[in-house]
Amino acid sequence: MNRKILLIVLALAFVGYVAYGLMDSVTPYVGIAEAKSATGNVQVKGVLDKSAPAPHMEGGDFVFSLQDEETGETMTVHYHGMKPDQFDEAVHIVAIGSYREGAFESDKLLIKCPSKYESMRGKS
Amino acid sequence: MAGTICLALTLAFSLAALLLFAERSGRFLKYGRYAALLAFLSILGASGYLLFLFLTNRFDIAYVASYSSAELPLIYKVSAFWAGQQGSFLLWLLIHGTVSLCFCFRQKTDGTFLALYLFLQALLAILVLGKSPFAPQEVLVQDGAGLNPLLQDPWMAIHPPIIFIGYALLAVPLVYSMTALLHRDTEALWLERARKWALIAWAFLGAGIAIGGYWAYKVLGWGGFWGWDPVENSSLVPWLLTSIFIHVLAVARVRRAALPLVHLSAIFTFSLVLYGTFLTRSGILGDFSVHSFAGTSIGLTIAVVNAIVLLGGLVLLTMRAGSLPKGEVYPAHASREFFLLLGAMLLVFLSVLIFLGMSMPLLSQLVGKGAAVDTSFYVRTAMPLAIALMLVAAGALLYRYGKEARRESLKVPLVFLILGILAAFGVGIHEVLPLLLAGAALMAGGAALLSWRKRLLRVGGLVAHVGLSFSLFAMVLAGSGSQSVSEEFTVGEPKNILGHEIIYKGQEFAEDYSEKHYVYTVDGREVRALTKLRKSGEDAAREPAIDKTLTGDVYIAPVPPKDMGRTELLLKRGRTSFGDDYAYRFEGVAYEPLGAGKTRVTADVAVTDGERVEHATPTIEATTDGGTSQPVDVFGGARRLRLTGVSGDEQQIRLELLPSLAEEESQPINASVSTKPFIWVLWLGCLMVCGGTLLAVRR
Repeated sequence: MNRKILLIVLALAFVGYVAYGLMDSVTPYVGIAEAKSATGNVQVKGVLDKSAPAPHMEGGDFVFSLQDEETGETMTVHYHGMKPDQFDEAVHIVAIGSYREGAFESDKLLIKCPSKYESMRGKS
Repeated sequence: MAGTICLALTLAFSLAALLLFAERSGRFLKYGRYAALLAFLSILGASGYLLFLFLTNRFDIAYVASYSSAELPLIYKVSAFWAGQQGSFLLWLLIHGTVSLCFCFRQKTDGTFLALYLFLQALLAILVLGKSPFAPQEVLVQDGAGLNPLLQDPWMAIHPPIIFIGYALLAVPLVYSMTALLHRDTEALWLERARKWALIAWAFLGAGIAIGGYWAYKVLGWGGFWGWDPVENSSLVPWLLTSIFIHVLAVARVRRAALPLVHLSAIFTFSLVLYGTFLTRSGILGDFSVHSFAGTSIGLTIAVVNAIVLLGGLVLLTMRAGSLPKGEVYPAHASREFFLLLGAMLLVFLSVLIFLGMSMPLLSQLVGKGAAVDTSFYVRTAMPLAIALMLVAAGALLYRYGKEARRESLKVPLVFLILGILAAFGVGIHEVLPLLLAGAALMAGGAALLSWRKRLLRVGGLVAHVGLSFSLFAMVLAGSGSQSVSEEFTVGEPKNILGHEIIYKGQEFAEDYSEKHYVYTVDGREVRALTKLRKSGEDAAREPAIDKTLTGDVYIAPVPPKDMGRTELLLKRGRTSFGDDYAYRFEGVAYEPLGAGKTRVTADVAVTDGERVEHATPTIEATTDGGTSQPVDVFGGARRLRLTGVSGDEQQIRLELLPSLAEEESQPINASVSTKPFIWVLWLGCLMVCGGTLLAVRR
């Protein structure tokens, strides 16, 4: 009996510990409008905004404009790194970071490329 | 075609062998062995064929076209084999098949074991067939996309095979565990054998993880060695689970009541291997929505395979629960058994935390709005657990097995604890948790030393535990103790930064323009940061300059200046345009086919500085999907021109104007400079953990 209580206490303590760890470290998936008003880190999905100046390096940053597929809203992204390998073939771009002073400062980009397998399925 | 046939044969032979082995009387064991051998030969055929496709540049195969290119150096054509998901799975299957030979031709190995092993092989074969590396390329291309420049590094070439050897070998303990459950075997023999294989797998997995960390440090240039990335986490979790397996197995050797824990950890270890592979290789983390999960059939296949292993194992364990030994798993709190199990529990906590973190994109979308966690989650939760884990490890090392267990004196370990804290403080660390971790890590190392002296620990265990203690200690020193500043460097001007004299010597281009070096001297020693360049002249990958000394590294990551002095100019035929100090006129363009779909385009551009006129003929080698070009000199190299584009109607060209080579090479540059105190101790520690693990295989 004693041991069961101990196990329950342990499990509860662990759940509390996980919750404590999750505080402030969750980065939700949001649209561009939401990203601009968010305070912490977020993940934004969009497509390359072709009407803006072409993606280029500015200092150590790779700069491009991201467009929300649904609302059409755009924002400038400063990615703290180099042009990712498959950037030109990207179908979607996910930028992770936070919006500060007119631009989205991002430390990580996820590039979603067209899969050969998907298009094959689309055909048949 | 030949490859797909080989894969189909692998599946067929594996299934045949499985059936022949499963037959109870054992009459067909001999034929089963032949079938297993044929299955292995089919895998060998498929792997050899894929290698052949890479070496002969068969870009009509989608996988080859995605990861290789004609000009890739030979070693990376070989390593492109496992650059993507399809090839990685084939490599896994190849290792699994090779290991099967170790068992098939040993007369004593029992049929059930072999049948289960071949069952896993058939599952792996289905995974490879599900997303075959031999699928044809839909749109024919002249050249492949090439291997990511970041991956073109010797360490990255060997990292995946080593990880996959670890993954593949973890199937063996699982099969031992399942066989023992089926046979109601609670003897020590299978435990010894499973332990041996688990140790080898553990060493490979650990080495793979360490190499990944070393590569990240050496190449990526953000100054760290561990980023809590899903790819890293998905190999760390199986490593942690294998640690649990080894340690509960040690308890089960003296207390059979702990056997269910051994079975549980074997099942979870291998299914977490599959889960991690699923998470990172199916591409679902690269996307936003959970739909891609349902959408990709390969994701579903891995999920089903994972479910078969996990549920199959758990159901079998539950069915056999009655026949497993009962009793106390530990005799008293003051015993090695108790501390080993307590440590295993902490490792479970740690694994669950990391599992939750890396699965968050998936889990959160199942219950509501999608979200991921950033690295602060891991840092915040893992650090206190690591401290507790080191203290518990010290306890386990100091106690003996049994009820009236004696504890060795705490004096020596406590001295180490204080030494660790003082050393970390001396390096400049003032936060409580890192100080405690540095102390606790050294304390566990000291306890291991004492334990070995008293013959409570063998030499393998000693080396591995001291290695772990070194690793954690060095992680604190090089992580929390790292100092960092950002500086602008002008060529030739000495700067005193963080106690080192650093001089920037300028840039240097490699002869073939494939690399650009930033040369520094640190206290008189020359180090180079490099930027790999694409053929178009764009930066492709950057590597930092690292000065290595006994007291730690000086880590210099250059940040290219905003304005490299390069500008682009759009020229219309026959019209003069002014750029910088010169005027340019585009006069004509000539085409020259080079074969293999390549065309050399040469533009004729008249350049004048107001007095003299020179004709420059920059060229571009164009294919259907892009072009490569080199700069050409005008006015004796005072300016360089590069042709970057020609319009379809030949009426416009795009020129890049570059400053003279000397000017570009002597530009001032920003760099982030940081110190990494005693980071070599981390690499030494990792080496000791893996070496000690291998030493422990022999008894």
